[in-house]
Amino acid sequence: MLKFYFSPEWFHGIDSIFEIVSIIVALLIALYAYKIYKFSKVNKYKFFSWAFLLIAIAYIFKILTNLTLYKQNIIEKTIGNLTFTFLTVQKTELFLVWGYLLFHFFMIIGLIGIYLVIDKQAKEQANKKIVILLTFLAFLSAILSHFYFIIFHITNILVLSFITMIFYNNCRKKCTKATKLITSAFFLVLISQIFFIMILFNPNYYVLGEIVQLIGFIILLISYFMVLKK
Amino acid sequence: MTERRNRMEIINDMLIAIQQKERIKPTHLMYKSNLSHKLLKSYLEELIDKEFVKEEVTKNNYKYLFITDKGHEFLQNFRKMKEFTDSFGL
Repeated sequence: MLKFYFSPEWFHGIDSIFEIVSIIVALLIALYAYKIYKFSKVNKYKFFSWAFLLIAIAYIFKILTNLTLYKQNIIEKTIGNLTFTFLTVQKTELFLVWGYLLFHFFMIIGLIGIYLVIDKQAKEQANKKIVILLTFLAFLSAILSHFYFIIFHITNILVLSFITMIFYNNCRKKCTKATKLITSAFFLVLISQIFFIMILFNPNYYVLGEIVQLIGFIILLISYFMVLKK
Repeated sequence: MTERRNRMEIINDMLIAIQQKERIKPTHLMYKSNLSHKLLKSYLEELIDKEFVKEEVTKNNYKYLFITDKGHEFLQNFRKMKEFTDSFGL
């Protein structure tokens, strides 16, 4: 059987709760950006909204896939019927392959989407051809990530460092609590990707990666409420 | 060079101009919000249609524009939206 996860057993399910928080934050931002688009009819807000929506969808796929994987393990342990277990594993493995592929694909596309919207230079040059090319590369990266999970995290590190740099520059131009928090939030999500790569050495890094990522999304949530409270 | 204002920013500028004066003549609003006559007419129609602004004609036939509660609410929402877009550098 293929090994799809590196999470320690005691952490199974807890990571999904963490991911639900990320989904809520991504959806809140997506909804508000869409509200701005409806008011202003400016396309960049629509694309920004879609990018966060894709990140939320990516996490939904991750949760569904992880829960299937954890459930499958329980079935294998409690029922000792060899034929039945074999069939279940075959069916769920197909779902796991697709689940992780879609998680990787939507996450990379979502992050690239955020980058294209917030980077003024990229925005000016982002015509349809470049968007198609980037989508194709994201798809390739998602497929390769299935065989070498590091590729997914390296791609994320690359795009997230571009995003964090832009937020950092924005923070330098307009230094407010919200801009500082947004920069720190994306920086933490970037750091979490490094921990996910370190799973290769010790599975406990998965827990650390998930915690850092959760803190990143909570900071993003705080900045969201801070902005809307004003 | 300053960036071109988007639709939302133009509406915001118009409402602020009306709010500052409490009531304003359309011609003054045109200067204050830096719009051509044609654009002012089209935006004003939209603002009146959305009930952000109401128009009143005085006895001596002068037209005045007033901001409504809905217009005030829009301005408050706009401030939040601007804060959101500025925070994300959009």
